[in-house]
Amino acid sequence: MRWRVLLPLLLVLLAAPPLRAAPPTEYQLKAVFLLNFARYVTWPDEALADSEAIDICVLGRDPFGEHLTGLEARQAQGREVRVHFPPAAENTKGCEVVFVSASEQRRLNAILRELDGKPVLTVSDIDGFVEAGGNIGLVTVDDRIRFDINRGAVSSQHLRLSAQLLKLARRLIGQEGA
Amino acid sequence: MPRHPKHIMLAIVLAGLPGLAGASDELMDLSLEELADIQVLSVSRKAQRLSDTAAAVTVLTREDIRRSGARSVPEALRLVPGVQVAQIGAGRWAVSVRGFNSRFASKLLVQVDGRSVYSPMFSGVFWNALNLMMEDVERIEVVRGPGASLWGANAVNGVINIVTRKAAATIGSMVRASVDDRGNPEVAVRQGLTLTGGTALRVYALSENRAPFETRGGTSSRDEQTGWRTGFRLDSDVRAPDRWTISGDAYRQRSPEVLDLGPLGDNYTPFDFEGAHVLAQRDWMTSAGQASLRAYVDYADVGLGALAGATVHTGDLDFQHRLPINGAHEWIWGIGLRHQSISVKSRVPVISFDKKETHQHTFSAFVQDEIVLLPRQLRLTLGARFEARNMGTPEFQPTVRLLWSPSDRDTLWTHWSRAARTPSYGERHAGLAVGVQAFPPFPAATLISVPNEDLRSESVNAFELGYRRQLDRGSVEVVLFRQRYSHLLGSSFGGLRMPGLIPLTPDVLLARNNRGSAVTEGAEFGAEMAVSQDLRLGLAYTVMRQDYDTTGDAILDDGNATVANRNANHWLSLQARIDLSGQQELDLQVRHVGALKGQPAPGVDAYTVVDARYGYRFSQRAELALSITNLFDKRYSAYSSDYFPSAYAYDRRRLLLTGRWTF
Repeated sequence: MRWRVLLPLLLVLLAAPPLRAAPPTEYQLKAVFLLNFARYVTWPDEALADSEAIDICVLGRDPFGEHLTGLEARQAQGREVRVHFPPAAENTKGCEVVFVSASEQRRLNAILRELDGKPVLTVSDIDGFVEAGGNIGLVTVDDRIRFDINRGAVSSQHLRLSAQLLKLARRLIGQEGA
Repeated sequence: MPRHPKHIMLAIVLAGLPGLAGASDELMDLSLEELADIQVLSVSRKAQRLSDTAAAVTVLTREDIRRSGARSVPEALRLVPGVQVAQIGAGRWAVSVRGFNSRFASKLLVQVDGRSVYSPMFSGVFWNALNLMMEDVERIEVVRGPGASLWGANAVNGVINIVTRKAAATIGSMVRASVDDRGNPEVAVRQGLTLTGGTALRVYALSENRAPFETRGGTSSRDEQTGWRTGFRLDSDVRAPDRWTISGDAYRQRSPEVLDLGPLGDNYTPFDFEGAHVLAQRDWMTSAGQASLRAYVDYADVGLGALAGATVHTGDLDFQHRLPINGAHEWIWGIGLRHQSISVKSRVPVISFDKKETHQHTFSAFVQDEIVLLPRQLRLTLGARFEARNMGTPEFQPTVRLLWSPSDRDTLWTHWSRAARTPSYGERHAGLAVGVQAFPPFPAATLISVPNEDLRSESVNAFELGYRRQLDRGSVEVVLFRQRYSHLLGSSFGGLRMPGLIPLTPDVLLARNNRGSAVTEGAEFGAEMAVSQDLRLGLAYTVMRQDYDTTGDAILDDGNATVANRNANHWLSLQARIDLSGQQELDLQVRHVGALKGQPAPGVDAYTVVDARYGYRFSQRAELALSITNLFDKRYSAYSSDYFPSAYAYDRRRLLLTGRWTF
């Protein structure tokens, strides 16, 4: 009988029209962040020499779907953005940005080791990503997307981040040139 | 809530857009500052993390546990599909996965930070002694189905891994104080410090004080829970690639119950638990891969008042090595050594032991190869564990798993495994008065289950088919399973013994054997959905049946039917998490469990219970929560204790007011 009382209550909750407009989904926004990061990074010249495009590579399961592939043909630093899905960290030659998907959590250390010293910007939303040696870690705080930066890791990747990006970071760890 | 005009404008911009892809266009023109201000519909990354896992795994995060209001691990487990949770009394639980539910569900392995809390004494977990600090639990991973190839024996039906938080995550002070509607106070304190070199330390202490259930007649079941636990965890700098952890704790718990000892009548028996452990783990990276070494010593003692007592000392060493990915192959291997000494004493004839002390040495080794057959699409996992001990025959436990991802969001897997469950010390060496039964025209006689040292392991052939899909707003999972068991423990008629415990009648002896075989099959369904930013729903539903094969031995078949009938054939939990405002949370949980057919009279009817929790956050540092378990005050009983028979205990509405301060 109590069940019958509660069921309508739940239905009302479910059916109630949202008071606000539907917000973007998490990965829709994270895809835009990825594009923006590509706009605020300086790569060594030789890294960009291999192709005309800024290549964003997703390692592991693609959580973005159309939200990321929809960014293809947009511009970053006067170059077209392209999205790739390499099978493993060894196949990321030519990538300027590598997003490490949460499905790769247990392989994270091996992936970062493989990419260490190469001119790629590593981005992920895996917990503890920057602590583990990643460049930019996306974090969700109070339903907003923020990011942490490991400056030591960024400089060992031979990259430079714009001052604006550093200023907006939630947390900066590591020392430049470390 | 939009708090600024600019946000309202953004919301309007987004609202006016027809599709999601279109919204991206608008988002594209925003600056980074503006992007950082947009609220998103965030989803848990749990399903994503599991997308390459060819097993039925559910992870409860710290937030899941907090919002469930769970004060113990079994309460939190109600949210997990496939896990059957029945509360027997104030601190007594029967928790199982895929059937064979029991107070000591022998086929479920439970570990805290890699340390087994599965007792070799009774082949099960003393849930009442597991009075953990729930705030310090980072996550609870539940693996349904055999996990033996990776986790070892006794992971026949599943593994529950409880992982505590790193000390670096609990810097500062925390005080929790709570009081229930019957005036029982509880306090927990924790202090976290950063030491030199980035090392972090946490020390904590808590008290437990839980009200008793009530009897059928409405008086107290006298099973109130009192206890304490204190411990520490020391972690090296989390940023270093070479990491170590040292942790330890000590606890005491008094968990009385009124045992129904048949001929001796009711007996008020305080179960006094005490224990301590120290664990050290080191994780490091080399060019040859990732390695971890873990060692622990553990002491656990249980005293059954004036009846009996048992002490278990464990020393365990475990090494694991994950090799770097080599082409399509990813190898993991490991070895483990465990020494356990068990000593027992009995003071009354209702429990007796034919051996007072035993030493078990176990050696195990496992290897697993995960093979990418088709990049991003097809993955094959082959694994096996070999385990040998100084008693019984060595066990070989293989597993084959195949995972297919038609897209990055869909995972379809199937697996076959063989797993084994070793007989416990109690099963091999303990004699127990298990009940009194009349055999007309003869008078009532005591049934005594007698020890049998020659019992062999129970084994299972398990088959599973699962599907998981990650959605923009959540995830769904469906798993079908069929597990075929052989050499199951059961009891047959084993003769008569004079003099009996009841004067002038002989005791009826029940001889344990390995002649049972059974099938469990069913489906588990789990879903998580963010309906809006303020409303999140979780659903877990399980249907299952468990059938023993008929052996023709009436006593054995009867006992087997009793075991099977201790399982519900379906259960459901539905959870709604509502954020009323930035400060206020409302959590509702509905749980329904089907009837248990074969429990002793008056039986267990199906029940539906609603729990609610209201949380108010004064600031980042202080929060107050009112939890109401069993909101509509339904009087119900979920299970009658097996192993240690006692009368049904009934629960009523419980209120709990909790304050938590961090500073």
